[in-house]
Amino acid sequence: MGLYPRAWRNRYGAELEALLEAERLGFRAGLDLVRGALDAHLHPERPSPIPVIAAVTASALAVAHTIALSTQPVATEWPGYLADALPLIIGAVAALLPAVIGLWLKLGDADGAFGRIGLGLAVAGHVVWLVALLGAALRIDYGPITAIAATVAMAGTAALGVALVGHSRVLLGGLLALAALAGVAPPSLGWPLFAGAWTAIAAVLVLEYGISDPMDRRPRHA
Amino acid sequence: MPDELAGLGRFAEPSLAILLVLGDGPKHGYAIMTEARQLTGEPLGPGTLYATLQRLEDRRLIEALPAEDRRRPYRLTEAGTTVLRAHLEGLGDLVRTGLARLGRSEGPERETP
Repeated sequence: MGLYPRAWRNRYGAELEALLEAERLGFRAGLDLVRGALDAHLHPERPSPIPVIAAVTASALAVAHTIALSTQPVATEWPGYLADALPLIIGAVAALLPAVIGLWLKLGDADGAFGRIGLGLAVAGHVVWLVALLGAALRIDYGPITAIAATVAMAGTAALGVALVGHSRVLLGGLLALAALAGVAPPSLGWPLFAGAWTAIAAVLVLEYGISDPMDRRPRHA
Repeated sequence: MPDELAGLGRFAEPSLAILLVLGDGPKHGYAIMTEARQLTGEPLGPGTLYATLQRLEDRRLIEALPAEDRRRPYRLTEAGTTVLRAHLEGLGDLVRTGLARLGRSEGPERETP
């Protein structure tokens, strides 16, 4: 029971406790409870602002990173061009992780295999990308791993974008697919496009969160 | 509105079981869990039960009644009754069509393609 969020426990805790006292739990039912607790964290009564804050942070850092790249004396065609702006892109990738998970949650329960595979690739890609960038900050050779991780992250992001379009979230899904495409484009074009696409995504998420009705927890596509 | 259940993904089957159990009147969590298990032959874990109850409440297909001791009964709303009836009628059409086809294929004049 302690694994469930406080708001959930306030609403369902007493009756679940009564049920658990009436029925001796087996291992399988225990696992089911853990899964239920995870689900309750992912689907809170009021949508969490964390993905929205994460998307705004990521877009701001991506814009700052793009500006830093455009003003530095080293061209983006040169090896090691990311070195000076590394803290900005590390922050952006760290913030992209919860933002991408938040976008997956918009698919609701019927996320489908495409959405789940997209989420898996995006999460794994962003985590490895982040670790590789942190390694680069510590002067550990990072080149190939960073490139592969970023590509995997973008493939997952693109799959999530397509899944969102399939759920009638055309604007959000299209912007996400555009951001993914920008992420694998040549740096001089890719970074500005990436920052622009995520800025637009953040704007859409802020607007949606601002007009969401806390009493209506149904997925918006339903 | 059968899509109302299809949109619930992995919670679609538990949702149908819960709506079916509530079809003959309000019940609390433990009664829903045990009756759903009897009805479907599949265990309905407590985590899945409450995750599904939450979704059905969100969609206003069921509603909670005042708690009795710590147990809170749930009942079908008008929308929930409509969704359940539409879903069962859809299943009924499917069953009738399937049985009719099976009858034709098992008939004496069965033709091989």
